[in-house]
Amino acid sequence: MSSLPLEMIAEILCRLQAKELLCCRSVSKPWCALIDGPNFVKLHLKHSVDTSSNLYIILRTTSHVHYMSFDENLVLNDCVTLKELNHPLMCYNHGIKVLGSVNGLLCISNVVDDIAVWNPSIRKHRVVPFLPIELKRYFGTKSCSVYVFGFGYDSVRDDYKVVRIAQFGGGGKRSFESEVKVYSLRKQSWRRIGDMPYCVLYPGANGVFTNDAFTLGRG
Amino acid sequence: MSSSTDSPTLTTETTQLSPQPDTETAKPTKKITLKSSDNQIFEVEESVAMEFATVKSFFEDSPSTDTVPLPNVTAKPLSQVIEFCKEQIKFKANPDEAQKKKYNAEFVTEKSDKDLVDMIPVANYLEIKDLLDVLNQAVADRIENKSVEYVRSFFGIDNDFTAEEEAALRREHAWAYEGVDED
Repeated sequence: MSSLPLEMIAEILCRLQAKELLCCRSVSKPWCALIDGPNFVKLHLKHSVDTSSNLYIILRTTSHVHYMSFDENLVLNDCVTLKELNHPLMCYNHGIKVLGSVNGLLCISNVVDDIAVWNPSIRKHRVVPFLPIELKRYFGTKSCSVYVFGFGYDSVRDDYKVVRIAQFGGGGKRSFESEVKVYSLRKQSWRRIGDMPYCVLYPGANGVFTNDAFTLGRG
Repeated sequence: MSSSTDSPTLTTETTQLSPQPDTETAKPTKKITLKSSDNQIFEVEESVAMEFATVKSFFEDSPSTDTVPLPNVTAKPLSQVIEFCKEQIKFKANPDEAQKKKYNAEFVTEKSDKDLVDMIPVANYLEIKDLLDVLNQAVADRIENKSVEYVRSFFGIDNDFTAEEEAALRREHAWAYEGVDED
């Protein structure tokens, strides 16, 4: 059988699941380069979004993460199988929080505030470096009372970003200061951006990523 | 209305490609001649030929031509592609999603692996999006959860990894190779 050009192979492979694609990397060097390439990753994501395939619901208990497949053929009476996911931030306590999710990536943190961006489909993760609060600035005057996080995709720079808003409550009721930092997965570094002029009212609720922006509020 | 029983006769009709008129259509329609790379002549109705974006733009550029040469296309896959498009024209006239789905599924089920793969460059060259979708999905379904060796032989790909390189790739995601069909 005559071999197809790689761009036609890509249109076939983008219909396979991530697990199958990991195996297809061993087919040949050109296939491996194709599957690892950014264009194919985007093609696969676009196909999943366009066809509503590769949908999963992630369920979290205090110490475990489960997932179940969720597609349009799912009937409620079907025997739904929950499968456990081993998250990469295990420590003495398995507790985990999901700070946000977008495009199949999860941003998670554990009880000792390690943060990681995790792709459960290929079981890979990247730890986000620890970032202390700029202590000198606030030490002694105010204490950090609130942390909220957001995780999203920056379509302009084609980058995944974690946002951390630290809020410092002070003496007066209306007195607060914030320190907003953004982590870029592409640059692998944090940077500080402008302060947030609004007071975070619902400290337990992390940002929800919709339409290229974060929404903060009660979840 | 048993369109599914009609289709086998249509298949033989397209492969014969005789100049005799289509018995099904009473009124005469304009025919367009396509010439494959192996010099086979295909006469198809204009409406079918216009499904091929490449042919359509060829006619828009040079309306006076009567034969469209298709230098990248051989006769066998072309005849199968024409067969598919003839049916799609009927669905365009009488939309019936369920019947269309059924036809599309049957169209690919009865084809060999080679036939499917050979049709992809043709559908790609002629820019028939619906067919490309059907073919790409059918091929994806056939290699779904298959072993690396199976996928290689399916596409006729030579393994250019050394034994060590391949072993390292497999180790990297050993879990992904669990539960894969060997044949």
